[in-house]
Amino acid sequence: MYIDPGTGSIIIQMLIGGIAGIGFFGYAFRAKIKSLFTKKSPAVTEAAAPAADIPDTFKEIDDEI
Amino acid sequence: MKSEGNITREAASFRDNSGYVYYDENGTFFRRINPVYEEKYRLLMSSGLYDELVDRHLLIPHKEIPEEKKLTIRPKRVPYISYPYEWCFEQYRDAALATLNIHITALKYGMMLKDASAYNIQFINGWAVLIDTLSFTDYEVGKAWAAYGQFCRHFVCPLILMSAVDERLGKLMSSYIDGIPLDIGTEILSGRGGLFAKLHIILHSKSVEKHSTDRKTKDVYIKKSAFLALAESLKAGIEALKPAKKLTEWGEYYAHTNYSETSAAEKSLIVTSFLETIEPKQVWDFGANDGRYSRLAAKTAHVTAFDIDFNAVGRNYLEIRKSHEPILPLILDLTAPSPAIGFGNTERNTIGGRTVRPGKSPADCILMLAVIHHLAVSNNLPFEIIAKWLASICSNLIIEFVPKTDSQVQILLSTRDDIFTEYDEAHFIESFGRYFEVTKREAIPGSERILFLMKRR
Repeated sequence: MYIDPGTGSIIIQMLIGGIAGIGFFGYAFRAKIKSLFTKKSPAVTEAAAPAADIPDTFKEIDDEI
Repeated sequence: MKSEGNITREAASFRDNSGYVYYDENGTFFRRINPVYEEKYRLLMSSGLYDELVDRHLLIPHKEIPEEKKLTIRPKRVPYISYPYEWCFEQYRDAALATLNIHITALKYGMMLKDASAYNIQFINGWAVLIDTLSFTDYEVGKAWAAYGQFCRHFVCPLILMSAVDERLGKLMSSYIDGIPLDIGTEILSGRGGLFAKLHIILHSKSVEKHSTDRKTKDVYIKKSAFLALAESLKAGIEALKPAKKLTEWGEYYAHTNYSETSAAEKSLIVTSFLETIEPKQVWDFGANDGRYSRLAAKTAHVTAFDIDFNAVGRNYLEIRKSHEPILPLILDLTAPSPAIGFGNTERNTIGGRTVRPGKSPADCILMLAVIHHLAVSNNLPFEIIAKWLASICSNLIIEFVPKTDSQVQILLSTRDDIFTEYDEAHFIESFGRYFEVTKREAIPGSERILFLMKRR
């Protein structure tokens, strides 16, 4: 462990995690229903494919800078 | 940066004993993995977690270097290192979501993130990517998330401030190297930010204060469902945040410029022909706005598109996260660029000081279009000082001179005394000529403005 988790941060997450844990299945279910009816906002989507004319070079390690 | 023979250890790479980053005489970066971390690294690679995260563009790809005696990897190069205080809201939110997505995905493989530093996220062609391959550790049922406090200081607090109060508050990150203290966040929010802020900032801050001298945490037990729910609720809360956008000077810039569509097209043609002459690989666009001219350079180079305006940077970024062009939009005030911060002022560097390109300037080319009058007139900067600084960070310069008769300059002069007796093309060329050789001069048809291509002396 090289960062200090902080006692206060541990105690509060026990509390928030506990509450969220109870509510989570309900939350996940509501989110699922909601997602059937709403379009995903751009902030939520991840790793959209690059535009057709731009090659995806993400996995290339040897690219020159 | 500390030199050891022909390798140099990265100055910011000292916090974690799992390993460290260094680069060789060619400027190639490597990451050494210490024996203490080797087992966890093997688990990352063999479990399938590495492959899944790299496939989703969430973790930096790397290859192992078998020639090295000690376990060493070579990560993909980040085109330009940026810091959280240079991100617009949309970038910051994506960086936070990437961190949480990685953490939640790691849990599927029995691992988790052991730290949640915003500096571990970098942008590569519109993707927010974790660059610290050694950030993973085993998940132990019952244990708390040690990085939760750090996640709140580095991500939740700045994001809520940028959302509920003012987007410019992200800049507070440059004053606090380990994230915005939650008590300061609480004070600035003064009740704003809703339930999300109440839990993760205000109550959290109170809890930190109350237990500041308390070291007894051994009896804490957090169920796996609660551990996961904490991460999922952070994710849901951050996804719901919206930027506090205000109408700014630059928001609708191209609707109010001095260019007809034909002049703008002519300007693009000239800039393109200048770029073709010098073939730069690293371009910086100062005053890039929403990246109109950055895109010309991005066809053959990586472009860092700096602008002072959050709206413009935000618009540019949203475009790039769709197209994945090699452009990195960043917030920068040229009159007060990012300082060097951290221990010994060496951890997070100035915009030029952070690049590692042996034998080359930080930028091969700087584009400075329709900016000079803001520096020279609004900020009273003599041409000489501007030229000298630019010559210290680039080897080629494409710069637009905007004459005093231009209506944009007249607007700047309308509220101040015209003390700028040397603001003319002759003085401009004379001052810049001391540091640069003027190789091309092209007037933009249909306007009074002139484009110069200059090569550093």
